[in-house]
Amino acid sequence: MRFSVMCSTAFVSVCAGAGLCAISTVANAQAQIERLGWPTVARDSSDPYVRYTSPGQCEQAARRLFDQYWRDKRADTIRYTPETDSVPAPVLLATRQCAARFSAATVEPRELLDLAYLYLWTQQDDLARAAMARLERTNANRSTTDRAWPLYLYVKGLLQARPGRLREVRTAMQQLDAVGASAATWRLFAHNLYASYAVMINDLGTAESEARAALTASHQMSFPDRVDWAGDIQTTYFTLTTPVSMTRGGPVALAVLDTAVTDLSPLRPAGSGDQQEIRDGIRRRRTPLAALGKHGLPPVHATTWFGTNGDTTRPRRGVATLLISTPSSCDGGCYPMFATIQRLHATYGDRLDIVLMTATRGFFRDQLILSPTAEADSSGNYYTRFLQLPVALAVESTSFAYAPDGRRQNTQVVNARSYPFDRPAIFLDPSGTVRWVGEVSPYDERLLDGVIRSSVEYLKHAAR
Amino acid sequence: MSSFTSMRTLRLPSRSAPVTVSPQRSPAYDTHADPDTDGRFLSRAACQALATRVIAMATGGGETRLEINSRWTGNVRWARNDISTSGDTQVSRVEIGRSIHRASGGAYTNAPSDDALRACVARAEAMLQFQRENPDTYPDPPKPIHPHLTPTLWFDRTIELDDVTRASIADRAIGPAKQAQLLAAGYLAVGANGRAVIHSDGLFRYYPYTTVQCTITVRDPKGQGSGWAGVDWNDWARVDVEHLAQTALDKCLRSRNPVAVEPGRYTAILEPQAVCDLVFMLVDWALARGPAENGMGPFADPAKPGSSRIGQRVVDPRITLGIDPMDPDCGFVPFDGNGEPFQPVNWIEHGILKALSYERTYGVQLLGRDSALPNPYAFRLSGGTSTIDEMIASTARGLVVTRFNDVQLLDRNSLLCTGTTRDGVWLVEHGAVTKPVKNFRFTESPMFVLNNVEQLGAPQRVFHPGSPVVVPPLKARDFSFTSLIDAI
Repeated sequence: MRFSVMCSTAFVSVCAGAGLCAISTVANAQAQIERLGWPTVARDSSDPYVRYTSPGQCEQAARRLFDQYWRDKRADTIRYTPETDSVPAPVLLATRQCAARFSAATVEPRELLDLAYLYLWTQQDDLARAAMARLERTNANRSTTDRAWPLYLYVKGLLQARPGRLREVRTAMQQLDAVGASAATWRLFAHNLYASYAVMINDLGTAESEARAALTASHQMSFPDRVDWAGDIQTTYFTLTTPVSMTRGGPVALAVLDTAVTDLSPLRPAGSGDQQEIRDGIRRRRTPLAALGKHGLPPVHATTWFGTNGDTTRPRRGVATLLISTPSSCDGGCYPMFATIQRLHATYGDRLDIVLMTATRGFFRDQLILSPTAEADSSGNYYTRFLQLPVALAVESTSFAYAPDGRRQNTQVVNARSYPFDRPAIFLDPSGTVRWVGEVSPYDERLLDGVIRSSVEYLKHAAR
Repeated sequence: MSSFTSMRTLRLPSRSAPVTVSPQRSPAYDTHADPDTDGRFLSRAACQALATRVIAMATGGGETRLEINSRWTGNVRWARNDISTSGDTQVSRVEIGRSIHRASGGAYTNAPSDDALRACVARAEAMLQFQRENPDTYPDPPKPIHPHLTPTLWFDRTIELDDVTRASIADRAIGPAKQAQLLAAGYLAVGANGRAVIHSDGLFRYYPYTTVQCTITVRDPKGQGSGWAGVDWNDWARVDVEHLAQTALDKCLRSRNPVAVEPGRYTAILEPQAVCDLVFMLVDWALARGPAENGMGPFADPAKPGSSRIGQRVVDPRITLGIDPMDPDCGFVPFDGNGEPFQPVNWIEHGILKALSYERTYGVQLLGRDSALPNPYAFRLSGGTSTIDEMIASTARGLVVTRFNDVQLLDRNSLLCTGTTRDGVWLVEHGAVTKPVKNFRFTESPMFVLNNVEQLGAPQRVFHPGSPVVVPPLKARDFSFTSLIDAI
């Protein structure tokens, strides 16, 4: 198993970026399929896919195989790059074997969308288009709303495909928009999805235009539909704030949120808890946006430092700094963040100072620790020695009180009071100005990378 | 008889280091010899050997956890004044849990063969595959192993009750009913058990105990009356079959030809078994700290979201509800399925909520304690000395209830329950029992009852196999009987 994992990882690194893995690697892929225990091409007359009686089953099998393929891979060996990511060859081969049982001309109309999805897995886009064309013909006599729904689902499939089929997405989106107000809800969903995708790949222009298109669609929805999908409309506003804040600054993004309050409040009964919930959600979103452009944040406070070589002043003057608030230990859920940290360090080296800020909690993982010093040491060992993260680690000692029922109550530490931005990470450019507030994750990595790059490049340019 | 005293090193294949499993034995317990299992159930050594086999079967490293409940029972059952079945059963249930990189899966089997155990381990590992392994292999220190208490739960005389003796006891139980030309039915079972919790990281717990349970129902041949009595203990000597038979007979005779009275709110005199049937719903559903602090159950503090009502008065100030594994009338195996030792605790003391159960993780993260406070679902409820006769004498109008049947929870927050009365309900008027009445369906919460207590009696052991219960009779006002039912 270990052997196959290593082989697979190496194999994908070759294929990544190519979009379609070469079928010349069939023999290799076939061997990997067998090692993973998946159905293989029959050596006798029996059909290993005989129980897969619909394209949907094959498509689900493809998802499962894909997940299974990656499940034992360490998070730091993969990075989802949606516009270039590919289907691993063993999954591709197995899925093609399954897909060979069906064709767009013969399956039941209700299977056509699943078949199109399946062909996206098998990288047979022409066949996917043919399936959608037949579906469109089949639905010709149905209402525009009914015809728009599968189109939206197809857009969703195209965006989730590996790689994402952006040209196809734009074509399908045009078709969807052409349907007009009767498909407003599906247009909201589709544009919203595309906007999020664009944020992920740091295409801020597309992100803004798609988010605005989604909001335009939302205003064409009926009032009951707007009530039903208020959460999606709110999400669209939040998505829109990202490109707006990055390109035109926090105040303009705050104005977007003001519009959101005006737009969304009437969708809930006046004075109700539901309405307050919407307003509270938007208010929480304001805090990080309001922080953008701030200058002169207080220095990071710590009882114990690790990984600083003695220089414990953070942020350092003239150095771009990424401050990340993190628990005193963090399990596998943080591994994507750790991988992003490693990649950012590999890219920017000493030009980017990454600081993890944590505070003692009285325990470390599942172990009771009574001494703050021992807990700080545990955190230091974990982050800087075991994980070998290229970071400076600031550990603050938390003081505890006890409630009458015996529960320990933590006092708020200095850093939590100093950086109340509601999001766990803050990027400061070399001048100490807040340029980005968010979460460090592979999803936001391209965006964050863009912000850091522009800051560092600016510094280089200014020095010249 | 054999005992396991040496340290053994068990080697796991591939991804993990060799694991040392050492039996953790309480010093107090070690002063006693293990009982002779006579091949009826798995001994300490047999459990250890089985664990060694299972741990060696595990693939992929990680941790292996076993919970073994090995049991022999000898029973006799009678109906319509005649013995209907008699038998011995032997079963060892082996639950196997596997954890690799914090993904875990489990399976169980009652077959101890190598093939069956291997299949069970494979099933557990297959279940584990449904979870995502955490690639973080940062080594955790081993969890502390706290010593457990050592109640006396083994009585040779219990398992010396062979089939011939059991049959003669059944005859004695049938006798009074037969003589009164009534029909007796019942069940007597004795058991010898070995309970083990063994983890590949070194935890080893084993405890042998005996059990006996006896229930007797006496019914009128015309279906006009029914009486019941029952009890369970670890020690056969504590079971008074003649008394049980006489109680069931007496209840049957007195419950014949019941009359219907209007449903409604009555002062209810609940015999101990009825108290157990109702209050167990509280013990079963409400004594966990996490849910209470998340707003669930009667012990969530509505005035302070995120908090429980620990420190507040929750029931009548006379009532104390607690556990103690060493309680001579209410002892139980002193550790749970995770090997966490049970400690004496009063959940409720003089009406004030003092503690709620929690897992070790909760203890470490929120209380600064390196241990769990598990709930064994056994309990002792105490607080009074009144007799049932005194309760009746002080009641203007009320009902005496023998026990409840089929008690179901309707609402987790209020603990509102429903169920039916059974095996004898009597009307009390002007300080005396006047007539048997038909059974009722009730809709009531133990919280309501425990806040409306008028009198409490002396606690006594009742029938609740699996988790011993000691409760008193009690008199509560305004108990809600909601409809009549025809069953006797």
